Amino acid sequence: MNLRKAVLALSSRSTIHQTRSRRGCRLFSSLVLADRLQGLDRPTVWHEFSPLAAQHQAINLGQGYPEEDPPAFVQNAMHAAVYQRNANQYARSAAHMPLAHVLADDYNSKLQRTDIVAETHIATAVGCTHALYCALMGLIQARDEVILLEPAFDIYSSQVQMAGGKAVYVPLRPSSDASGASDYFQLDLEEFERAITPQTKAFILNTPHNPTGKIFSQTELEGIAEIVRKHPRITVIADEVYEYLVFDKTKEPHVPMASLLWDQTLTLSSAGKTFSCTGWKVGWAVGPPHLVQAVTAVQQWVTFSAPTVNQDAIAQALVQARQPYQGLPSYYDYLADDYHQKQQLLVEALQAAGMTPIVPAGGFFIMADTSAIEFPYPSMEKTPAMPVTPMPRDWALSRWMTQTVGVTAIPPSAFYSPENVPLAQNLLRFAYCKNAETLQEAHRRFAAYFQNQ
Amino acid sequence: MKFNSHILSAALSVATMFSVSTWGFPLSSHVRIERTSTALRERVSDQGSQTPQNSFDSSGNLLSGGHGEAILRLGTAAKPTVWTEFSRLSQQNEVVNLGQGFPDWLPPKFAVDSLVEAALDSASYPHQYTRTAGHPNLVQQLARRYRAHLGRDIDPMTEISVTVGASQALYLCLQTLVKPGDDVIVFEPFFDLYVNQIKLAGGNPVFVPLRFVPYNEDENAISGGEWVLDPETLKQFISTKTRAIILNSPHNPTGKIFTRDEMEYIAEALELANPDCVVLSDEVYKYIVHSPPKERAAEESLFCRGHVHFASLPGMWDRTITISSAGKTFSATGWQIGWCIGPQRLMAPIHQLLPYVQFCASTVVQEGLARALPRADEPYLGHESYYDYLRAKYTKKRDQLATALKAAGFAVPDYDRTPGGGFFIFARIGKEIRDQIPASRILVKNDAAPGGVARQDWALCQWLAEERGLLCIPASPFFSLESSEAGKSDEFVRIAFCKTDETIEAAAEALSSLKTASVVPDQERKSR
Repeated sequence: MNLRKAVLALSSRSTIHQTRSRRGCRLFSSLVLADRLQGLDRPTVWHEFSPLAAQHQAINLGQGYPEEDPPAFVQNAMHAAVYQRNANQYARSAAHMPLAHVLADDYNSKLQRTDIVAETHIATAVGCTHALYCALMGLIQARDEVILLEPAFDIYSSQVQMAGGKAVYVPLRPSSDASGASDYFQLDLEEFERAITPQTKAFILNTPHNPTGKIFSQTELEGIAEIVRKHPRITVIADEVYEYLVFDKTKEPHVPMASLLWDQTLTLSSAGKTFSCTGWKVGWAVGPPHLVQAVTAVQQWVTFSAPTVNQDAIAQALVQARQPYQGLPSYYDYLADDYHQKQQLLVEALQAAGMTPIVPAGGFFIMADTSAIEFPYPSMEKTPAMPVTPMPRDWALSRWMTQTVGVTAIPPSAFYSPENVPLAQNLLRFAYCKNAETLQEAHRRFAAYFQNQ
Repeated sequence: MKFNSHILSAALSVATMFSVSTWGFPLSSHVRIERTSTALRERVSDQGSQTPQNSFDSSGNLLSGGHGEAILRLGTAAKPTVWTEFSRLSQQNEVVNLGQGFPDWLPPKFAVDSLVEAALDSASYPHQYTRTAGHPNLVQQLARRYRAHLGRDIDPMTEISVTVGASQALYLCLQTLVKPGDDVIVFEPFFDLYVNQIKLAGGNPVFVPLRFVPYNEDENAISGGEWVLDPETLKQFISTKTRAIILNSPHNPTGKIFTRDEMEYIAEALELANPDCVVLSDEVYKYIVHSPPKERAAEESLFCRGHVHFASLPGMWDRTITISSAGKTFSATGWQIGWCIGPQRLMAPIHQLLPYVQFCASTVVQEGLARALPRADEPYLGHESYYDYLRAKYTKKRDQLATALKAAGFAVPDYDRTPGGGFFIFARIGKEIRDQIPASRILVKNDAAPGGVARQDWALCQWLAEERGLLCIPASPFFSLESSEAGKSDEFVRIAFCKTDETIEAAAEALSSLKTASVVPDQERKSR
């Protein structure tokens, strides 16, 4: 495990500059620009916890990127893209055609359609994050509202703000049912419907969900679809990057939103999580042409196109992933199985610490209930990144756990708006996209500390 | 409302652009477009949907829904462009393609090897996210090179940002500098990307024309010449509203090298601009200065022959963001690695945006480039360095193309007297060629052409693609609408020579047919 690399990657997740310009605190000279970027120069949770983990040599289960390399067939695909397929020049702006064709086939199959056409229904971008950036820039006007479910990946609200829009938060609320993340974190459909106003232009739906690991069920999605259909102005932007990290395909399969609400859904995904290549930055948007155009029209002038080599390699990889792999029917089956085993290791480790993991149905994060842990709290400490004062319990716990136990998690209050931070008090988010050795070491440290108390 | 025509055309164009498919495929059965005769109005309805996503009321006002602010700001740039249109022509006709601005050969072996080595080097984590502001190995390499270019110490962590190509570097500079209502100066002709990015940032593009000075001033002669910047012209357009000036040298499309004097005019003119005015220096062609200015002989360095970095002028470091990329230099435009270099106060806002725009540029490509850069300084195929080889290669191709163009009746720059760089020749249409263009093609309606009308340059290029098997790019998309409608771009076309010798030879053959062919009616020639 490479702590130094981790710090480097994540301490730049928010690139703050402590030295302020002599011109004063404003780094941006215009009020309008400053409004859009307000708060984006604040330090974030990543900037605080990665250095802290490194400083204390803690096992860092906060960062959401894999320790594994991509599988050999994916790396070979890059080799072929460079040498044999000469994917070294500009790609077609909207999407590199070989990749667009493979995606069209895959999505026709996944959504049981025949009408997804490579030339008109597919856009590729520099990772899903960039696809989302372009989509929001292309769809949102000033003062449009975008509904986000909390806890929400922190990039969503920043991008909504950059597009001139306003984020409206609807929290996932804990229910007493403890049978797993999907049941524990509940969306109240009435609360969701009440959040819709004439200004609502988009709704970002992340399923499987980061950080909770919830997979939205067919019933839930049908409920959402029924409501959204009443508001044709709204586009559902479905972030489905964890779509293949699904552990019980019979009981809790991944249900694509586009299979229920095609006309109003822009489906986003990427290669990074699926092929353990988060640094390759190949993402895509699929949907009806008028929504895909929002991405391509913007991308044409922002980057012109995503790197061809990477797109071409992923085009090959997506085809090969359908083949049997390591004794399982496809690479996707292997991936899910591998992560399921890692999830088990982490579940045991968390239980050794007296935490109750809320077992996820998908993704590679677990939210754990920490109410049973005793540690010095409340804390009078103040850090620049913490969302509210005084320091929320989960934030303080994560700091304490890093310093005292030697394992780092991310406090979920980083993913909530200030008024909903209390919902995160008794939770921590742990990542298990790590080697078995790393997870076992975490187990040892939990056992060493908590079983000696 | 001022935006109306933009909204209406944007509305039409967003639907048509991809429903007609930029690649020439028939209209998708999903999209239906209706037009009224009085106004461009459209209804886009998806198969099975109850309500259109983009609709208009009876006065042509956009109803709530539909386009985001970015598309509204882009206006007509969201419709078919010269790029989509000429790509379509290249797909539908058999042409020698001298339109696209990218090489048709492989990058040098050491570069592709570097990329693959980077991908295989597990220990350096090439496959996962890297530092958002730029991969450490790469920014160290860039700092090393720019120390030599600019003669100052460069801090790799605070004074460099790595982006997805120079396009994105420019985009982010404009996003952080420009607020709605600010002016941004571009020199005309200009790369059309600049104008659209300025619009995305809410700024006003202000066009400062370069003046074409023919070698032979006689009205009846159509000779080559050079493009110059008059200081008085610049002063006319610069004001305290000017927030940025985009300088592109070597220049696309003309190939012009801005002289030291011209750069000094710009530096002086900054006094008249907003005190926060920044020069964005787009230098992507800087290693392809095939005809260096003679007065620079004393300044030549092995590092970057014939190119003056604007940021190295006295007092200019603090007011300049230097933008460049790997794509043109390493014949790898698909790698999409660009960067900007500048003082921390200008880089810091870009560092802050990068995590939210895409988090980071591709790690493995950045690492590949970091390894390739030192190798490029070593002797290569009998030359002192890869950069030397690149320049020599392009010089030969330039000459090969220039000869063919002159023989066909185009007027081109005389590179013995006029400095030049990049890989385009901005050729002037000679009389004989002009007379061959079928009259029925000139000043006809064309949605992709500026102002919706195909003028002489566009008509020539379309005719050459459809009837003569040669694809070049018309000049009018590189001019403001006002200038092109005034005829300023009528006489020029942009022709690329970043092509193999065989391709240029084939182009020469196609061009030679211009000398001998008589005018044949369009109906008698079929596109294949």
